[in-house]
Amino acid sequence: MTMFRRAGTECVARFTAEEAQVLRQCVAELAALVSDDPDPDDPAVERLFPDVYPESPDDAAEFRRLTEADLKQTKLDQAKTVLSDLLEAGGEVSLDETAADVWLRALTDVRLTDERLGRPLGDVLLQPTEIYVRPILELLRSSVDVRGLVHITGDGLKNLLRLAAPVGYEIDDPLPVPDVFGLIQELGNVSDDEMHEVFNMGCGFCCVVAHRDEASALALLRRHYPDAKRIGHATGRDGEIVRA
Amino acid sequence: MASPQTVPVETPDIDEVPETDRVWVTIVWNDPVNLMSYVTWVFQKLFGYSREKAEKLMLGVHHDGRAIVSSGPRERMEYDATRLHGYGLWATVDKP
Repeated sequence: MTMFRRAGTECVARFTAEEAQVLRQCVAELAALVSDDPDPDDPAVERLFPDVYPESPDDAAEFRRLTEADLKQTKLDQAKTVLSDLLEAGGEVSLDETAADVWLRALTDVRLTDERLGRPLGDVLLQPTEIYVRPILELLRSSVDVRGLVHITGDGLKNLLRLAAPVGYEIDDPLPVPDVFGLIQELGNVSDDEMHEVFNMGCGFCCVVAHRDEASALALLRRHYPDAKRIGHATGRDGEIVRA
Repeated sequence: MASPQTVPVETPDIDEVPETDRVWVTIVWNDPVNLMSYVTWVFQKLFGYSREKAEKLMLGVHHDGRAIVSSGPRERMEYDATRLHGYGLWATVDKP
């Protein structure tokens, strides 16, 4: 697509068919969220219809009762305008000042409701890679019997098999998966297995240590990474990785 | 995202409002989604503020987590908050 640019009194942009479909889908989802009976505990709904009196639930409820229906209708009308301006096939969209105002509001609503990452997607994607050198050097200098160190990058946990040892691994207690992977999986329609094969799923580094040193290794690593934990153990099944 | 807290709010610096009506205020809270340029534009559009004043308020939201954007009778503040919600800003009404 092209950015919206001023052309006389109008703002003009061009969309490809794919872009138009993605945007139309987002706006349609917003319209559905607003027009169905919105669940007040849904964070997206809370953000679209904030409490005017956060310290006074009664006043907030009363205000909501008087104003929410209008606000809902406005947001729904805005979404419908975008859906009628933007054809499924894409093409040129030309907006006068009033229409541009409606689009801005509708797009803001779409952006507000896609907040499940807790911060803008751009921030998540631009987060620099974690550097593990310092804690790992500390681990190597400690008395812990370190058997293997694996940076988990592309190929995910398969990287464990790059350790020269005739063993396999059973991952029975994995780290929590960051939300961004759920978003990638959903938008790309990717299977669970493929996700784990391609991404590290939030587990950037594995240390294989002797069983008797588990507690001391964790104590040391948790000084840098409080959420470090034992995620599994080595098995005698050479070359096999099992995810529980 | 910043969450609302009970904090003392400063007396708003809004000349158009008579002293006796300076009772209630509309507060806009910071959020991680809306762009600075958009927030400035909304303040200009809804309140007729100059670009300079709107930017100052926007920076207040950005740096301090919140800013008082209008003050006056309660009903007016509720109206302002609703209009701000219409533009996707996070607004609350309070009595300092």
